[in-house]
Amino acid sequence: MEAELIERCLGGDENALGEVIGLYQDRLYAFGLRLLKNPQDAEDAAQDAFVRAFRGLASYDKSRPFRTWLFTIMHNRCMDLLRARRPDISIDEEAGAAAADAAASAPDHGPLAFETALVEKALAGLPPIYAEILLLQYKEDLDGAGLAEVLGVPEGTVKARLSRARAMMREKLLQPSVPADRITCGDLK
Amino acid sequence: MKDREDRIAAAIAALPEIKAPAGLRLAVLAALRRQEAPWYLPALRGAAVLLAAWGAAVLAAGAFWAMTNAGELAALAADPGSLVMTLKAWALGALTLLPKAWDIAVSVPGLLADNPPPLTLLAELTAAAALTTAWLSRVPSRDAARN
Repeated sequence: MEAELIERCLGGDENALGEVIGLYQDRLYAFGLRLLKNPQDAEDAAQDAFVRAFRGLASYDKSRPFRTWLFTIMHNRCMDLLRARRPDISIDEEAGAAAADAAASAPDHGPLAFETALVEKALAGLPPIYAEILLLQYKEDLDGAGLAEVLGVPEGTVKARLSRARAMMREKLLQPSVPADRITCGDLK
Repeated sequence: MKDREDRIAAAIAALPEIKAPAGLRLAVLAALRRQEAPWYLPALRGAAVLLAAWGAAVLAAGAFWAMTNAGELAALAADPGSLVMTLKAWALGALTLLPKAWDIAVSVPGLLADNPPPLTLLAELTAAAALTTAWLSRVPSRDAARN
């Protein structure tokens, strides 16, 4: 199905391009928003990633998942934007206000939604390289090889970074600023 | 330890979906179209606008002429000899000019919406220039016919 769509894209079929965008736009935008913490930057990064992906489609290796290739481009774009930001603009302090807002506006599922908001906030408080590896593995379900390809690092580095990211996430979730009675996964300690 | 990891994994996997802005798809497609456009696209668009202006001007001039010369046209119709001479002198030019102007006025908005095909534009510009020149060259003949 997806392979057929990509073939049609290669043939210049604009409807197929639209379908591929439809398949991935929410995931790419959400990934960008959680990493960049700014809706406009996330939209720009997603748009740029799609354009670069389609412009370079001829060089795409069809034996690899398209999703991995697309997220590799998105990762590079996000890292470029983060590097370009002035150092006095904190990406940790604002704690992903945009992503947290988006989570708050999601449908209410009772206590789970509240827990989700805390996780969103904890994730936003991580340095981007740790936040993205957690998102790519658990939200996008990429395996070790996929993570290595997207991040452009060896699998050993992926494992080490993932381990560090999990530890940082635990610390964030158990910070005193997070009310203990709100942590439904409070038995993490 | 494994349990902790599972809980973190489950919590992240359960993060809500976030909808991309409604205009993202169109913005991507528009950006792709812009990048595919040739470097001389502005010149093509300029030529298309020129053609549209020419078509509109010719149609407007034809309508104005018909309104201001309605009496003369009626008189010509009553005198078949003069009518034939006048037609020979200039009306045939107008009869080819006006349909072409109409055709161009109708088709140019479509050309502007997409990337105007250079050959089509060149052909239309050439035709417009030739018809205009031919018509202008008949204007003295019209005066001669009138006298």
